[in-house]
Amino acid sequence: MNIIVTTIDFILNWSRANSLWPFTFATSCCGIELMQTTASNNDIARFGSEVFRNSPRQADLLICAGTINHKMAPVLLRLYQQMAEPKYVIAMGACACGGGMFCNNTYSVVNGIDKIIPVDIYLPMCPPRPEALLDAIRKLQKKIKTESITTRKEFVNSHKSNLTEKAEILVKAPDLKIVKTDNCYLDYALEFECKDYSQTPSIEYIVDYESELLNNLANLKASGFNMLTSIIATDWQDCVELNYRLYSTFQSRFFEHKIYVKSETDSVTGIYPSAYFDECEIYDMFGITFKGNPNLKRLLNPKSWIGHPLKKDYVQCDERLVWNE
Amino acid sequence: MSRMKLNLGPQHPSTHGVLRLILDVDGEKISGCEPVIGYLHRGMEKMAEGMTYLQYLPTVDRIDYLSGFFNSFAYVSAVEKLLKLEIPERASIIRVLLMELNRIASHLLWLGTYLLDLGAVSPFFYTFRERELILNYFEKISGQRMMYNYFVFGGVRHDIEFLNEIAPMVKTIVEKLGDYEKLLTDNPIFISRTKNTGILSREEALAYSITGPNLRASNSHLDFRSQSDLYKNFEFKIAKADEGDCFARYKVRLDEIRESSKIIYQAVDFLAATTGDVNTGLKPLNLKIDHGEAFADVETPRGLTTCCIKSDGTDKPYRVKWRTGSFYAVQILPKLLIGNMISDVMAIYGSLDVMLPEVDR
Repeated sequence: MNIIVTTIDFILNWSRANSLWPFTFATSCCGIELMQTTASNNDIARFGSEVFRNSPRQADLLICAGTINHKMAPVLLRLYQQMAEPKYVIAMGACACGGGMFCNNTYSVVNGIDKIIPVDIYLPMCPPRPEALLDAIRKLQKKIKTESITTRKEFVNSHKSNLTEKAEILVKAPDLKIVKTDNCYLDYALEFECKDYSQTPSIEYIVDYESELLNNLANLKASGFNMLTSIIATDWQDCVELNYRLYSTFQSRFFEHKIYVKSETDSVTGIYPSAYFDECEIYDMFGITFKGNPNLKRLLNPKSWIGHPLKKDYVQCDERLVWNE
Repeated sequence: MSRMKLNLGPQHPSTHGVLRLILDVDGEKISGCEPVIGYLHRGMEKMAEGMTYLQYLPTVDRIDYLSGFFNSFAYVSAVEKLLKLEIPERASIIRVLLMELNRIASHLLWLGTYLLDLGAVSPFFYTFRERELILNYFEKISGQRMMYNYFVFGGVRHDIEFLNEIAPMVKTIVEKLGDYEKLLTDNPIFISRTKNTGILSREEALAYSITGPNLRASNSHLDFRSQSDLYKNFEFKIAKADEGDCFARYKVRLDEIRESSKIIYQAVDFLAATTGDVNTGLKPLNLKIDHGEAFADVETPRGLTTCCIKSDGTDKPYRVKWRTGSFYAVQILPKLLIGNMISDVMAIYGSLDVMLPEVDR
């Protein structure tokens, strides 16, 4: 019996190890190094892995190149489940291995893809060099060659029993340090307006508390400020500052229009269409609603996200269910 | 005609990242489009509030990993504005030199991947071969291929080395650029897929806050380099095209590589002829910054990037906001795609040179 198993193992492992077809799965920085590995200088074809498949159904190897956040995690899980057995995973880069630079102080990153799917080879570095990825593929080939059909099943099943059995996975979110600050920021902001701003003479300020925003911006647009470069929101604890930063291509200068709002203000999408994404982002991050915005929604966080992360009093739940969108 | 919804992404080989587009299609025609972003949202802005100024410095390279020097520059110069630091001249010339090299590398990657999206595989190998020259040089001076962390508050980490390698390298790249043009500019397939596709008018581009090469392809001169003090000693033309279609955006980027090479030659000549300090010797550990607010604008390969820092007297920023070019380029996608065919989606989207980490931050 053992002789048969080892013979089958040898044949299977030989064929599996030498034609690992990777799945094109790149989310961020490591994806560029993955592309570089496939390009002419580091020709990945030497190791039988040049056939990149765009469908998970045709691929053997998932090279997870890049950061996975809570919005992307269900997608990764589904793609992994769609791959046919035998399937292998390389966690490429520090983010995929354990959160990397984003494991602290941030609320949205999953600290390591091994919380979601089983990982065969960990490849840390930020980002790994192409040579390192080739080395990881060689290591995986070695691992495959020593495997037996029986142990492979155990490896996957052990991970399954830990995690994938649950339909919705709770991922422990990192503890977030809350910056405690005084409530004096509005006063400070006002004081700051009056200062001589000789360093950047092209900038002017308007501060208004009454809602004359739409009028002011319409006048500014008529006077040549034809571009709204961005809306910068800041949480000053008792109110949120919105800084509309305009630019005039005629006068080649910036202009800043600041307002302070509690929870609601007018949308300026009628005057500057580019404000749409900005307003959605501010709604997502600060909880400010914009009257008249065509489709106010959470832009960056998943729809089921709780709280507004860039508020100073934002507290991250310890365990967060954001998976069933 | 059959109407249906088509989901594109977030895992799609042509989005170069994790963009999701929900398309309403009417047969082959697109009648609606909703971009969904956030699949690479890493909370960079919140991260800054829990880190010191120095701790945050290496992470800003990751905001747009194809043009790390630009993000570094935006952050570092915003902090310098808050500290009212004067930068040695040699340091700012080194910054210009490295940023322009980075611009060439970024545009080369765009060219290769854009043509890959259009179905041409071989240009990908050529452009990556040339890009590798620049990355190797960056690795020699900074120790990293993509995340350099080379700019520090008050200058650059150390004086530039291997200066004599730059001019031959850039010369090779510009020569190869001629080859690409021979391959592409008169190529009937490339022309028929890009000309008169995805036309963006100047007014529309400004209303949607499009900047960078995308705006300059729509008959605009707006280039924030020409207003910056950093570039005042350099002679270069602003690459520009009138048509506003995908082909115009391609032409502008290729011209920009040539213009960047001119800046690089001038910078190399200057650096070879002079010596001097490359940083102010500021000790950034436990750096505390008084109450203040500073903006730093930089023209990246993908448009205007602004870093806004608000400080509150402690060693951590109170708020950091990143304004990036790609964020607005995604927003204009519905405008450009509606009315076009499904096969044009990637031709138009790719021509905008959207970098998803920059969108989601």
